[in-house]
Amino acid sequence: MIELHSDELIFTFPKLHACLREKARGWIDARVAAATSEEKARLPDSREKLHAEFEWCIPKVRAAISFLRTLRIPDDGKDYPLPPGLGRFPVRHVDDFSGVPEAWKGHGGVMMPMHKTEALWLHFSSDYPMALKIGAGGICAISGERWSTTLYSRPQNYVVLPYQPWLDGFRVSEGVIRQFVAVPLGKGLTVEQQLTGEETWGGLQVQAFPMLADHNSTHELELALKTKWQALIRPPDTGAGLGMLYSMECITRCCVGEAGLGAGGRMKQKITRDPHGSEAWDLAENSRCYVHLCMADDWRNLTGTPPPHRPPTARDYTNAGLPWFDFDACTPPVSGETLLAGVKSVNSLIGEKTGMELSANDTITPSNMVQVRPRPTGVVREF
Amino acid sequence: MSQAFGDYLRAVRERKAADDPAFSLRQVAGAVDIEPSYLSKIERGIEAPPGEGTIKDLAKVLAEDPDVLLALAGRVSSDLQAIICKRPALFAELLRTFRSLPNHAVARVVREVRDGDW
Repeated sequence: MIELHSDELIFTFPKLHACLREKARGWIDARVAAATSEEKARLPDSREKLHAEFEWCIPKVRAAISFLRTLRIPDDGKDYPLPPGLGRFPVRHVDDFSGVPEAWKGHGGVMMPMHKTEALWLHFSSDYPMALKIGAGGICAISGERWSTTLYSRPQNYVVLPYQPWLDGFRVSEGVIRQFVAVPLGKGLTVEQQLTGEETWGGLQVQAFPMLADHNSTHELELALKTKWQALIRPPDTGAGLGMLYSMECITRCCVGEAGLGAGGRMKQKITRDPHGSEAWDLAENSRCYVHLCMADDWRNLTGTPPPHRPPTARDYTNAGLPWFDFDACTPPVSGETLLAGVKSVNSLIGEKTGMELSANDTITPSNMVQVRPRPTGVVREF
Repeated sequence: MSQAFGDYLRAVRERKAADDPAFSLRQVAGAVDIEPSYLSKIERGIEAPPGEGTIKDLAKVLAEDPDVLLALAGRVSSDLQAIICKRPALFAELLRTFRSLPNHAVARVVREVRDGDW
């Protein structure tokens, strides 16, 4: 099931959540049966109240994806650090607007506006392990293969939540991506055109696969339940439990023209290798969503609302002394060749076609660098 | 239905009248331009609820939600009727879907993102 809240796609898996709740309740009831009378005296006086105490331990089996506006980094051969997030793109149901192309109606899903050559990145968060496939124009952004509805580990064609906090572009080599850059369909500038010879898909495709309930996740759940149980049966003057185990604190780096995604400048970004193995994922219980890209000039006609303004150039942003970001999750990256290694950037393609260069593509040197580290979950930093 | 409307109207008016004489039977009837005896009969369920316009006027005077008063009178306001009549099958399905949902779920109307053919 997918919902749209505040421009964020929320993937939930209610059946899996109910299954985990049943497992948790079985575990709790077994503990109560084996508890001493002293321990029982410290527990709530009804089974319902006791179960309610443990509710926070049970993951909602929820993943959220938002689409962030950002700078377009220069395409000059340099590997740039992470640019900031400049707020979410507005996202709307395709079904709410009668003027959308017929193909979009068939695909369903959602849509959002992008300016020509504007960049974006995808922000992920989840309270439960998920494998997430990301396609751009029907091309897997991780492996470069044509869109398929299943997971492969060799080459890995998905990212793993919550380890992967974001994705800024097409993986072109180990630790390097080329930024997602919006271009109008039909101009031959998309990665889709380069790898398939046609531009029929456009947009973004997202598909989420939760971890199987009886896989490692059960151990994580038991750990959370044990922690809560210890807190309950402990004498009342001692401390309480931990935060959500699965959650990962991600910082926010703080007629309709259809668009597709081309390859922009190079950026340092690892795609975390799946530590669970492809057999960990529930291939039967998955949800997918088509995210259509609308050229910003047509957004007002289509929706009656203005698109976001153009973001600043990388040079203006940098000259203002604003921060760029460096992040290393300290997890092994996806390695090996990718079909995307040889894709030409939008700038190169424009150069070949017109002899010109993209505007605002001059080399810059980010000076205000902010190091981002994953923080331990549930821990509040003191000052 | 008319008794429920009358009971509710009377309870609201008398509660307000306890603090403010402007909500006496006579004063309220005068404010909505009807006879006090007629309002009294409505409150006691002897007369059927008045027309939509008078109900909306009563709601305004008593600071009540006009849709609630109309519903108690067994009516749907004309603007809601117009909305429903524009797409009757769709709204009928929507309302039936909501029939058994708890209040908090109805208040938080969310819609699934539709997956299509691709």
